[in-house]
Parts: sequence; structure tokens; C-alpha cells
Amino acid sequence: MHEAVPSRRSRGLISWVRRGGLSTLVFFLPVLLSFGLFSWWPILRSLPLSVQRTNFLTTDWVGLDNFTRVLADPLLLTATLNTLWFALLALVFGFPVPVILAVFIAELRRTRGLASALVYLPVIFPPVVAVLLWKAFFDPSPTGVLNTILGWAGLGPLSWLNDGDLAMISIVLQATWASFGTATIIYLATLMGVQTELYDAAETDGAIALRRFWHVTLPQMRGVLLVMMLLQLIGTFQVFTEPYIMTNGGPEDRTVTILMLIYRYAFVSGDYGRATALSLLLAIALSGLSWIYLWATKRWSTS
Amino acid sequence: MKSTRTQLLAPAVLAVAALTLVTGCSESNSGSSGPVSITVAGMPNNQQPELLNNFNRNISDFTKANPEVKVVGDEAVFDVRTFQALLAGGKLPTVFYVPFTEMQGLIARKQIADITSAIGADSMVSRINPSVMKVVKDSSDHVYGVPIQAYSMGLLYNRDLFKKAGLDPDKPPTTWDEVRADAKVIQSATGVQGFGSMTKDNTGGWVLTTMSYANGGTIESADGKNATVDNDATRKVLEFYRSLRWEDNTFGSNFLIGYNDAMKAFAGGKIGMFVQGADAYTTLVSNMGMKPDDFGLAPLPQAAQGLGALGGGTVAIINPRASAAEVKAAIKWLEFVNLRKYGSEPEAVADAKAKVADKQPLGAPALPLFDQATTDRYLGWVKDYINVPRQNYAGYFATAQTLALVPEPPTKAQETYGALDAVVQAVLTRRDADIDALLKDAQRKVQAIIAAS
Amino acid sequence: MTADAERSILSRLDRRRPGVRIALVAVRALVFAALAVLCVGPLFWLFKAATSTTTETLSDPFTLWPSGIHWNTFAEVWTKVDFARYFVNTLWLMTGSLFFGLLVATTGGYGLAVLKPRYAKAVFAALLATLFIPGVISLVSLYLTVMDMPLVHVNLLGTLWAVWLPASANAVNVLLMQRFFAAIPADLFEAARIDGAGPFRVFVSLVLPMSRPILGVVSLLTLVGAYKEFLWPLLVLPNPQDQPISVALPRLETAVDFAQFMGALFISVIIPVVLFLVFQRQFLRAAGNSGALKG
Repeated sequence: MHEAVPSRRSRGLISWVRRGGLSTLVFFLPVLLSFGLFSWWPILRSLPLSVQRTNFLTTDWVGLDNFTRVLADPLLLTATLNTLWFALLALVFGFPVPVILAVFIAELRRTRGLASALVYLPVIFPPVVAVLLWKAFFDPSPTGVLNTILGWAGLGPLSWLNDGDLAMISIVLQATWASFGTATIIYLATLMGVQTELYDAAETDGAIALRRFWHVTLPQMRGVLLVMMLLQLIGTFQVFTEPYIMTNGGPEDRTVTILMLIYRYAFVSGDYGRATALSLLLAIALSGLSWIYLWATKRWSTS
Repeated sequence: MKSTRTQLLAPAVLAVAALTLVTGCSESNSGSSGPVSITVAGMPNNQQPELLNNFNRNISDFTKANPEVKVVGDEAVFDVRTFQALLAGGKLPTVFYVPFTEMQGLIARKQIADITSAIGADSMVSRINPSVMKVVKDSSDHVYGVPIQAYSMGLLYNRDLFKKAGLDPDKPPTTWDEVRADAKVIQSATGVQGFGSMTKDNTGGWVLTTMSYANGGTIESADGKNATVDNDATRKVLEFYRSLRWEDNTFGSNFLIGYNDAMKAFAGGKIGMFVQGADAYTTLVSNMGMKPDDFGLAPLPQAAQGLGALGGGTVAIINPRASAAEVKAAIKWLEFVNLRKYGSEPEAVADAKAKVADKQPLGAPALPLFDQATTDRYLGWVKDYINVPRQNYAGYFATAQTLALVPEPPTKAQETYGALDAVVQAVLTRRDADIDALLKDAQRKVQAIIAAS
Repeated sequence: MTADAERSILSRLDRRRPGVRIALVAVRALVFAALAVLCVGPLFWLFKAATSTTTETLSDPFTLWPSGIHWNTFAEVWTKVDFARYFVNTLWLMTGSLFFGLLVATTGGYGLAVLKPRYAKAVFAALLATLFIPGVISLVSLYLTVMDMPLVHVNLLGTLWAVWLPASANAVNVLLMQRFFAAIPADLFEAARIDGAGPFRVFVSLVLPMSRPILGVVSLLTLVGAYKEFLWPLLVLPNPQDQPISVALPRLETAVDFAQFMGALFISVIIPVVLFLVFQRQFLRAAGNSGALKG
């Protein structure tokens, strides 16, 4: 009978269970459920979603319509340029400062711990708090915090977020303030691991401190610097909270970012298909960027 | 309370079930036959005990009169960010309340029930002002909702600042030139910015549209197919903004302000005048602590060729998944709870008593939903309970029946407003802003928005 | 030549030269002056603004307490502004995120590093992949998923589950655990197995007790992450009374008095700052570590 003679498959199953297959699976369940439902499935689901239009009652397949509507949006170019501008400014402001600061702090002896703690303090601010505090600093009236400081030097007052040319720069100032501590601490950890023999060698060659930094320190930091730059770029391309809270895209759409556009499509207009289409485009651009970047750095490091 | 707990519990149970590899078999919910059950929004939370009692009494009275209907209250309120989620999750109550602004989008997306056939000829609904009913109809006159409250945009002014500046608070400006002149007086006498406007989160475009209407221009053609932003009326409004901002300097210094920023500043006496919905009274006085006597409201000044005032309000809508019987019960309910008080004295008084007990304003500025006679009769019934200085808005009420109510741009109103925000911000933040170029650009953008819809 | 156990660009010999010494003192002074203004300054000003009246701060932001310190602002924030509720919401949000985050990271790390079934490689690759796919791709679809969970059709929106569960899918945490567990000597597992301990006993009484350092790091990262999150809870917790501090604050900005708002900001930042001062080393090590992992 069928029940009496276990099939080969069920015999395999029994021995699988005996060998602990089931209990192993139980250990994998949380990770499979969590990533399955909240990571892998949504990523896969983005693909059909980007060619659909739904009002939650009926769902229509609309082909590439969502993509053409994204590309036809005059704000897309604005948002892309703004995002690139933000990324560039963030690199210019945010990249050299932590390197220099880390090098300086590394030269401290007894006070290094205190300096590290101070550097890290802004990172402890929850982002929303930091953004709202700086929004108050950017008060355009002459008695605003930053304008008062400018006033001491006989400058200003500036309109900060209210000035189209200055708004993005102001936002980047805030973002840099909020994040330079993390980079500094990471560089500091790297500096502590720099092979000291090389310094000694450089020293016997009579290299002055600046040249030691240039020829010994920097080359050893190259790896971490590149990774940090890549991460920063990927992060800045998804900037949202800062402009959303400080300006919501204004003035004159000068601080609208790509993620803000996605947010507006999806959660203000209820146009989820269009939002997903733009998400996909951004994700493709970001992955492309990562690959180009990795390729370029590999070439550079081997040449 | 109970519903929140089940909401929290259900996923927990499911998570546990899933973890132990028990495949969940969903509870079968067969369609109920016989008695109809509806869920209705508008239930006050327990911080407003009198209103809650009143709501519950309404339910029991209604069920007594209609024993075949079971009514369940729901605290859900409209919020732009969560509304789509309510719809999508199937959690929209059978009866729900949305602002006028949402109606055309909902009708276009077919996300609400068509209730044309469910409204009886003898219904109070058929007595609602036709200009208000326009908001809930599509181009072929099908009805998708019941307006229960309406207001028009007006000129809000701070009566206290008017007095301090030596202006007569009972004689608010009636032309835009007078607005400009009064703003100057307020600014120089009190140091407070004379005029202000919301500028972000689509409110800048909303107010610009309102003011364009008042100057005789529109933003979109009546059929919603063409952008009409680039017109002389809109140009005039922007020139007005420019003069106040850069010549008179009576417009303040912050031009990234949304609805709540402006309301907070106005309630705090930091803005002399601004254009806002007349319904702002409740928020300003009840929630933001403005003195009732400081709140001034004038009809929106109209140019000679002005079209009227942009209107707004609240509409009751019905879940598109509701069955025919549920739609019928839902309409019965919302007539019972929202419109009955205009036709019955005891109901009017009971409702008024509850409002006053909960320190809610009664008699706050609004547009009459019905004709003058019905409105006056209702006001007569509740006159002893009115706790709002209505004489301060005599001008607004005087024009309420005559000033035309102009609907919002028919296509993608919110996105259109968003595009106009940028124009308003440009004029207010850049001294050399080229208004002609801005309007041309906005025209192009709004056309693109229409094309993408 | 490696006489200095610890040296930096400058050697001990350099440090004895007077010129270098003066320069070092100057650098130290410069670094600390800059850090004091940039890092401590805003925190101090926030405290000042919270304990001054609104008019004082708005008319002259840098005078120190012209009418005394108004401590009562904090009490007002706590009760009148209903901050206590947002605080409790935040605690709940963090607790749940920690629980589910640790559950997924420890069991997953254990499965990948110790149990290693045949499909472990595939799971590992799929986890790695999520690190390389930008998160933005699934923002909208994750939202729709949470709104209508696959198979069971439950709507998690408006409940803390919508924050807890998606946050648990954190590949960095799983990989940190996996890396740590993999470094536990194999003999220990062998010995435990000979003693007759099943995989569950090994996990609970061998692996977890040995992993306190990494559990600390992952907990810290998870808690800090949960406290900082803004966009996701904003999307999935639409009801103001359910929201954590980070989502409530931008709303409060336009709803309450300026001094009270500064007070709310100060309370929101002083809690993590105090925790940071107490657990400074752990924080900084976690920060340095995350760099090492990223590297």
C-alpha cells in the first residue's frame, strides 16, 4: 500500500529531519521571513509595479507609460540637477574636513579621547532634531542666529533658505555638520592602524611632516577614503529628510531632490506606479554609478 | 480602543503562526445578508466627551429609527498622506469625510461610490445650494458625495492690530489697493508685517489661484484640458506681491511657510492680513489660542472683472466597495447626522448644546449650505448658544449668498498648486524675478501636469 | 626601528623639538576651539533657547538668560505638548526593533556561520545582494507590502509592527553576527555536540553567552537607528498619537511656542547625549567598526 511503503522522497524527508534539517530550518525562518517579506519581495515587486497603475480597486498594466510620464515631468531635470549639486557640495564641504581633523586628532596624546567624543557629538543628534535646530539657525531676519554671527563680522544678513542660490548650500552646511563626526572617527581608526615602520623610513629619509602625510598616510588611507566617498555619494543621491523639513523643495524648486519627487508621486499624489518607475531609474543610476566607480578605482589602484 | 487592540494583535498572532510554520488560513468573511452594517467616520475622540456622547446618542437614535442598520463609529479623519493608504488597505469606513479639494481627483480615479441613484427626490441633499453641489458632480452630473459644510476663501485680518494701527476694524479693505495701503499702516504703526501669504506645500499656488480668480483669471480652462496660467490677472497678483515685498517691505522675511506656519504666526499676532479659508476660525481660536475678538474676516476683495472666491469645505463620501444596501443606509445616516439639524429645532439645539459644552465654536464663519431662509431659521433656533462674535464678519456673511463660488482647477489641482508655489516663491525671494518668464514657465509646467494625468 | 609602540606622523623625536612642540600646542588649541564652537555650541545654545522666553531668543539670540532660567519650559513640553506620549511611543518603537532585530540577526548569523545547511550559500548571497541594491528601489513597494501583507492580507499600517518587522531585515547586523559566530573555535561546538547538546542548546548556552560584545554592538546600532529613523515611521504611522519623537517634532514646530519647541528639541537630544557620554567607548568603537566593515 501507499502508506505502508514510504516513497523515496518521504524517506529522504525523514532522514533530513533526523539529521537536524528541520531544526536548522527553524533557525533560518526569522531571516527568511524577515528578508523575504520586507526586502526581497518588495524589490522584486517593484518591477511589475513600475508598469502598472493602481487605484487599489483595479490594477491596469500600462506598459512603459509610468516611465514616459516620469521623463516628461519638467521637475525631473530640476530634481536631478539639484541632487547632483547637493552631492557635489557635500563632497567639497564634507570630504576634506574629516581627513584633516582626523590627522590633527591623531597627533594629540592625552586629549585624543576627549576630542573624539566632541567630534562625535553632532552625530548623536537625531537627524530630525539637527535639521530643525539648523532651520532655526537659518532664520532670515537680522536677529537670526547665523545672521547675528555674520553681523559681528559686519556681514549679512543673508536670507539662507529663502535665497534660491543659498538654500542648497545651507542644507549642505547642515548635512555636513551632522555627518562629519562619523567620517572623522572612521579615519581616526584607520590612522591608528597605519604601519608605523613606513613613517620611520620616511623620517630617516628626512621627509618633513607634510610630506610624510602625503606619501605615507594618504596612500594607506586610500582604500577607506574611496569607500567612504562611494558611500557618501550613494547616500547623497537619496537625500530627503533635510530638504523635506527645511524647505520642502523651495524656493522655486531649487531644493527638490529625486527622492522628494518619488515621495510626492507616491504619497501625495497616490501615483505609486510613477513613483516606482522613478525609484527604479534612480536605483539603476546608482548601481551604474557604483560599478563605474569600482571599475575606475580598480584601474587607478593597479596602475 | 477595541479596534486598535485587534489591529495590534492580529499581526502578532499571524507572526507566531507563521513562525511555527502553520500556514494561515484566513478567516472567511461571507457577505452578510439581511441586516446592513456600516462604519461611519466622524466619531470624536474621548478628549471631547460631550461630542462623543452626542455621536453615540445619534447612533442609538438612528438605529431605533432604522433597526435593520448596524452603525459602527470610526475615529479616522482625512489626511493627505494617509488617505490613499486607507483606501488601499480597505480600511476606509463606509462613510468618510474629505475636503472639497480631493473630490475631482477621487471621481477621476473612480475611488468613491457613485450615489446618484441612491438620493431620493425628497432628500435634504436636493435642497443644497447648486453652486456647492457642483463640487461633488462629474461632467455628466453624476453625484459622488454630499457636501456637509462649505466656506469660501476670505481676507483674514487681526482686529487688534487694526486698532493699534489706528484703522477701523469694522472697515476692512475692500480693494487690493486698500489692502496694500492698510498693510503699510499696520507695518509702520506696529512693526508687524502688514500682509503675508503661505508659500509652500502647495498653499502658495492655492492662494495665488484664489487671488487670480478675484482678479478675473483662471489657472486651467473649465474643461481642465488646458493650462491658462499665463494671464493678466495672475500677472497682476504677482505684481501686487512684488510691490508689497520689494517696494513697501510689508511682506515679512520668511517665504517658506506652509499652512500651519502661517496660522501660528497669525494667531500669535505676527501677521496683519492674509488670504485664507474662512473655516480657519476653529483652528485659530480653539487650537492656537487666538482671542475670538482679534479674529477678523472680510470677503475677498474682487477686481471689477473678478470671478468670485475659491470655495472649500467638507464632503461626505462613500466607500466604493459598499453594496447598494450599504450605500442607501450610509446616505440615510449622513442625512440624519449632518443635515437633520437644519430641519428640526430639537436636533439643532441638542447639537449646539454639545458643541458649546465641549468649547467648540458654534456659529463660526461658513458658507450657508442651503438657501437664506433655511439658514436663518437654523440660526434662529440656536441663537442662544452662539459663542462666536458673528458681528465681526458681517461683511463676509453679507456677500456669502451673492459672491460666486469658483471651484478649484479641475485637473490635478494639488500638483498645479505645487508648480505655482515656485512662481510665488520666486517673486518673493528674488528682487529681479521676471514675472513674464515665470508665468510662461509655469504655463508649460501646468500643461505638462495636465498631459501626464 | 619600531621603537614607538604607538606613533603617528610625528615621532617621539619630533615631539622633543621646540618648534614642533609649539605647533602641537597651537594645533591642540585650534582643534578644541573649533570643536567647542561647532559641536558643543549648538547644544548649549539649544539649552539656552529652551530656558529663555521666545521673545528673548528671537530678538537677540546670544544674550544669556536676561530674565533668568525658565526651567518650567521642560515641564510644559512634557505635559502640555504631550511629549510624554511621543517619548513612550519612541521607547516602544525601539524595544520592538531591538527584539526583532536581534532575533533575526542572531538566529540568521547562527544558521549561516554554524549550522551551514546546503542552502546557506544562497541565503548568504541574497543577503549580500541587498547591501548592493540601493534601498530607494523598494520604498514604495515595501509600503504597499506592509499595507497588504502577501498571503495573509493583513494591513500593518498604523501599527508599530510596520516599523519593527521591516527594520529587522538588516543585512549588516546579520553579517556582523555571522562573522563573529564563524570565529568561535570549532572545537567548542564539537565538545558541546559530544555532550549531547542539540543546535538549540548550543545556540542558547554556548553561542549567545560568548557573543556579548557583538550583541552589544548590534543592539547599539539597532537602537540608535530606530531612534533616528524619520521617513519610514512618517509613512507608516499616520496617526499623530502613535508617532515617535522624530516624526512628531516637525509637526510640533508649527504648532507650539518657539521656546517650548526648543525645549522639545533639547529633551530629544539630551537623552542620547547622556547615553553617549556614559557609553562613549562602545559608541566610538561601533562607529570605527562600521568603517572597518564597510572597508
